[in-house]
Amino acid sequence: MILPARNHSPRAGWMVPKCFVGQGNTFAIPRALVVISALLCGSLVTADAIAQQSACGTQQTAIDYAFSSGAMWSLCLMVEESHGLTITSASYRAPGDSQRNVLQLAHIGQVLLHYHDEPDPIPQLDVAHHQERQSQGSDVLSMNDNTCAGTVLDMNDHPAAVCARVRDNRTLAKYAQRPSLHSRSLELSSAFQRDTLTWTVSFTFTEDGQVSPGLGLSGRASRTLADSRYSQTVAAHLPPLVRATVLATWRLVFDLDTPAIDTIEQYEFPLDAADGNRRPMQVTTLTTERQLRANRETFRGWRIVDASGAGYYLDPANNGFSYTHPRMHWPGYELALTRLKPCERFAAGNATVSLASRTESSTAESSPVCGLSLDDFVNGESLQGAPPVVWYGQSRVLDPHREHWPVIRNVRLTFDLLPFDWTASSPFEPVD
Amino acid sequence: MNLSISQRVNGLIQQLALTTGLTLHRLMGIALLACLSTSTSTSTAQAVELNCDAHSRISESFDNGARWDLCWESRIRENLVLSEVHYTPPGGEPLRVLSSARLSQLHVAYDDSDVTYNDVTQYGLGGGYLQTLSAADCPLGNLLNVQTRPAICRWRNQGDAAYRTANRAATTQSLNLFSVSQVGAYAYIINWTFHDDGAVEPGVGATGALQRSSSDTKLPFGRLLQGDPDTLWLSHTHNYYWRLDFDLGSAANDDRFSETRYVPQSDGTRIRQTRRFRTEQALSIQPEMQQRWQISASDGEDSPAYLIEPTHLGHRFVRTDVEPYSEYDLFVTVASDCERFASQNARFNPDCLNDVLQYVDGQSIVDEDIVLWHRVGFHHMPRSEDQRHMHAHWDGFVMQAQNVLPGTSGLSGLPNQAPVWQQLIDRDGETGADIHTQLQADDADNDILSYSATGLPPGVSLSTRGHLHGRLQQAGLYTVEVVVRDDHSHAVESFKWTVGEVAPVTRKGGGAASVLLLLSAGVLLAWRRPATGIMHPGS
Repeated sequence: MILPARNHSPRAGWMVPKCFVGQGNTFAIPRALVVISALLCGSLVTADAIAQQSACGTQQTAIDYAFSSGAMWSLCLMVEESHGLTITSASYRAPGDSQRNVLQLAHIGQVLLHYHDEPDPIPQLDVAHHQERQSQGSDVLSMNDNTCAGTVLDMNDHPAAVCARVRDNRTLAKYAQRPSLHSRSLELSSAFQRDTLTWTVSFTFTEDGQVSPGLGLSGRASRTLADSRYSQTVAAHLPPLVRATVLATWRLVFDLDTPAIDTIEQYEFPLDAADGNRRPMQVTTLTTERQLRANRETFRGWRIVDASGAGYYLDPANNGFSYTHPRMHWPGYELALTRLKPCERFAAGNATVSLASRTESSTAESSPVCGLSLDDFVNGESLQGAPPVVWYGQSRVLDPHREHWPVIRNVRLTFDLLPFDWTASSPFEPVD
Repeated sequence: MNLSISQRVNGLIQQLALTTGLTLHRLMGIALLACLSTSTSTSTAQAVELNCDAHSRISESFDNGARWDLCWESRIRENLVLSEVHYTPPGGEPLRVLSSARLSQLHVAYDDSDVTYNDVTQYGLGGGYLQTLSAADCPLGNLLNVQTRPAICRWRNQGDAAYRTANRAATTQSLNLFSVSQVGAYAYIINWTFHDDGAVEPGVGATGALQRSSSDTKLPFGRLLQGDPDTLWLSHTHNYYWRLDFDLGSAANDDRFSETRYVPQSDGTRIRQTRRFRTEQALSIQPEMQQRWQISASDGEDSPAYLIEPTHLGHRFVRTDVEPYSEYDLFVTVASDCERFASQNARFNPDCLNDVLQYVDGQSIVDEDIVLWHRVGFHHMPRSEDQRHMHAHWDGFVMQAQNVLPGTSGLSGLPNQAPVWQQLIDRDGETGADIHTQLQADDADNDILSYSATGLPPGVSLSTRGHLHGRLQQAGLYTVEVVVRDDHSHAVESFKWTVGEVAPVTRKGGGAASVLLLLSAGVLLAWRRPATGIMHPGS
């Protein structure tokens, strides 16, 4: 689904400055949520802010968060059974700048959980599973004071499904004897349960424009096997717990700045030993669908850039592991680029979505039929003329030990999307 | 509402900020002091005897009952050097973790290859390069003096999730220490974070201003930034090397070092392979093996250990012609006072070897005090936002405590009611019968319950969700013990299961036999008996 580009102006809301923040930061959310916030905060100041209609869809909730510096994030969010927390129409306003679009859509595109004694991983996002379980209720976990260190937000379909938390970051900038600059961030998270495991999907929006998607694995490790090649004893009274690798793959659709279609550039800095060990920068514009590996020795990274030159940089600096599988091609690549298609939603396990697309196509035979996984999605189509989808994967191993019982110590996967030439200089310290 | 002390204080100070008009940061500072004193006074962990004066000593207690104790000093070259670092887990005994820890080199190489800096040895991070800090640099904490001027910020932070279940969660708390060293145009924020679950996280924030540029704007070694078409700002790599002298065991020379790999097999499974090293090593990451490194107090599987996962190695600066050591990410050496810096060591120690790769010369590390050297790098391509003073880029890594706490951090001490089995019945059945039964227990806290069993008849298994399923295969009398666990505790119950042979079918009429089989499918013939299970507190 291609979502409409959103208005650059802040949207309707009532400022609720107490619980979330200090120093004049404001958090504007719809009236119903204000009531919840008031209950949690114990007080309420109903300063009417902006009377403008939200651009979010009917199933989405609008959030505007303004920092004391003047920076602001505006976005729509919803919690889907099949993807968890989904962000749409996210825009950022740097101090002194206008509100400009950043993301059209961002959510987790698949989580593979690969128990080491099994030949194949288990996709944790499974549309068929949700359809089967519809009568048994939701896998989305409700937030409460015990599980949310911030403020609990209702979503339209899921009450108390999102936790909003404002956090102090480390120093933002420091130079000589000038006083340090500090920043804060808004973290939105939701959690869902799969068997005994708990998965937390989060997005952190920082005051300086960064976006950090994150996935956490916790809950109860419950797969056991008495085979030390695959499992680990964590307590004498327990059978050994099986180790596992987690591969999180994010699905990101950017919508940077102007209405023009964004392009993707690849940056590399290969060592030229024959030329005095220099590292000439190589920039390649990627114009067709493809899968790409991280190249740690050439510092390979990717910039999503608008026609205006404003961009965001995806740097796989946090990517120290690679996941490979003998019968699955796509997980061996950290990045994939595809042309946006609504029915290409899951990096693996897309069969149900694809099947629904096929059914629809019976009445409109020209409609495209989507594939089963990223290996099908990436088929050499041009990336020009349609928004590109960035699929980014990270992996990590869960090797249980004493601290993982009775609940798994949070195993976290996260990365940063960094504004890159978004503003002409640091918006917190303009050039003299 | 199950708020931590710091959460309560945060809520309180935000209310105060509204009602008193004081700035949030000022109130946070006041609150932090209150919080520190509160948690210290309520902690059960006892202070560790350290060989440093009160001024150089830092002790921090956390809401979960854990505690860190350490000594610090500021040196001309390395600046912050930590020593005698001890962690006390909740309800446990102090564990000596590190005898010393420091940043031992800050290597910066520019892409045009014209200039390479070794900032620690060429300039230094302490002395005149160490910045005097003000309250504005440390708004959430308090300042410590280096000699006569404030130069170290100490603050406590509420971090990421420690764990999450359906009904409970906790966030980590941490002690943070940082100083700022201005070296040329760059300001390096040297940070150490000590988490309440025993993890240690060294890190560096690179901020300040871009250092090198060229007027030749056609060069392919940098970028033009907005508003300045005449200056090409050069790309470069920061390589941070930390020197970590672990002392986990009862003595300085009894630590073990090993590497674990999860080796992919052709059928898709992965097998763990752990190799204990007995000589000095230089090691590189192998991303497909998803390897990690451990330093442990003994050979036992459950030995206290610290784990380094190379998650932050997406950039690896390798230039072996000039710096052969750059091929490796982790080094293990025998501790030597002569081996102080990762590179340019001979500059200040002329009788010693020059770099960390040279230190790796085949010495045995068995029964020796061993030192880890870890490199993390970041390639910095300038962006317009780096003008005029750039935002910090943070790099570092986490050393996680393993087999140090009794269980999941933050769980102990929470109110909990143990799960209770619904009445279990003894069972009868015959071979060939299909079993599909849900075992049930109740939990007053609505925790997720997981089930396990021993002694089941062959062919039958119990899923973690309590689904008893399979087909009876072998006649006999079985005593089945079932365990149900919530987040803290578990309950054990047992029942008997009598499995008989199916009577041979000697006539046609399979339908009737099938009905008989179905009727005997293990769920009907039973008598109820009082529960004899016992409750066990959580481990």
